Amino acid sequence: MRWCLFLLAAMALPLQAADQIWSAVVLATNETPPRTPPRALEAFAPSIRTIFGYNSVYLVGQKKRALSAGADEWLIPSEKLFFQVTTLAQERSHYLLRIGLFREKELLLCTEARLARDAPLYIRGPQWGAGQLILLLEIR
Amino acid sequence: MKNFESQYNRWLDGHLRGAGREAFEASLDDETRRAADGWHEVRAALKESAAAIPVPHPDFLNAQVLRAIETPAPARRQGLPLGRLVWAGALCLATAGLLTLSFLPRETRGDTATTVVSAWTPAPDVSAGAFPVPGGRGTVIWLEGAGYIPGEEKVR
Amino acid sequence: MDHDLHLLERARTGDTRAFDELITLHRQRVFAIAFQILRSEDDAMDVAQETFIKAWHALAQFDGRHPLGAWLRRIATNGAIDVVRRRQAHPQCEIDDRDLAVDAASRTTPSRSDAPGMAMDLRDLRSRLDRALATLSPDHRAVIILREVEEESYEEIAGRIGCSVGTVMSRLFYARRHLQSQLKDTYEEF
Repeated sequence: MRWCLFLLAAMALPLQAADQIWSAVVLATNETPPRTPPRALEAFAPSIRTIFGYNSVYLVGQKKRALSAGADEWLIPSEKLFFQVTTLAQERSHYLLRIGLFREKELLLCTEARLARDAPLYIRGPQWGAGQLILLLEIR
Repeated sequence: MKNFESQYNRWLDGHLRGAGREAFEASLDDETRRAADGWHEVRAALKESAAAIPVPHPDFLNAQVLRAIETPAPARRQGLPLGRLVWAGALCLATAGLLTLSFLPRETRGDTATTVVSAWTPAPDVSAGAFPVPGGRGTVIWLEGAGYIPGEEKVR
Repeated sequence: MDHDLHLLERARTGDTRAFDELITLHRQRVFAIAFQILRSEDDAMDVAQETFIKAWHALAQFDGRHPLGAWLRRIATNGAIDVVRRRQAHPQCEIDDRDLAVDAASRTTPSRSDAPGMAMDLRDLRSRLDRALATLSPDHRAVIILREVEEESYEEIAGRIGCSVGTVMSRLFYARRHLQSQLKDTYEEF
């Protein structure tokens, strides 16, 4: 009996320990014909088109890290634009995170957000050349 | 080169011409084009709407203005000395320039949606707004003033 | 316009009755532009009063290059934008751009008349437009009103609001897409 309980507990823990925060820097443009999105961005391309008006996306960089309460994590999907993420709390279905968006040494944005799994945060970043940089954050 | 937002606005306002306009129109999807087709009606409605808003208590407005302009102004109080004024102004500017604080109301889209609790931008020329992804569980932070990176500069 | 100039000349000599007439002629448009930006009757009334008071003290500076009404509306716009800035200086900053709906969410909202072939009339569009405008933030409303109603250029808007042309473009794009999405069903009628 004790062995069964131990096994159940061991199975339950990895569901939380496996949560990661994934980040990406995306370049969005308009092209004729529209470009097929890379696999990593397939799920985001329709929303990017609806929200920002661009029909093509390029993945500039991506990075993911495991979440751990209280720790500062640096998510560096690109040299120019990257995140500092602090897990403030883990709630029933969300992580409460403090997120700093940096453009090199400059802090562009500081936000506290409740991120749910598979519910991304889109951040409209600087323009780059003829396109728009969009930053993505998602709990997976 | 102008970004999509700028081109779209100029196109909608009839500022794009010739090959540039054609190229831009060719890049748009049907839904965007349809939405833009009806815009002149919206524009007309905006103007008509402006002409139709009634002034509540219009004669009271006149009376208040006339009372204000007919009442002699009180004697000016002695202001701060110039030096102190300059320092006070500089301190205000420094404080204002240090951070721009925005509190975003907590959204109630259920437990499975991502929401923004608060956001602030240290630079005074950068501002942030947030809204839910339409039909989705995500959220968008719309940064304005985040700047421009020339195309030849590396971002990766 | 001639009547305006005649009243203006009299007002410049200190004739408050002439100024009273000018207020009556222009108060609706002055109030309307303040209200469209601020969406508050009280705030718009305050701005309207301040507009005419400022105008009285600045009558000598009005050079007649633009119509008097346009000059008054510019003072009102600046006043309304000042109110927006003052609100933003306080912690409870408004972010009321909810339900952006720059997508097909509105498809689920029945809006067509049941009578087949009945077109939505302009009054209905105005009513829906009014509701849609109310869902924009004051910053976005200011830009859309200055562009679409006052027909100011992007550069003029940027100067008035105190931001870059790029920011004007961004806000205008956002506001236009938002309104288009909110009025999507209306478009299908035209």
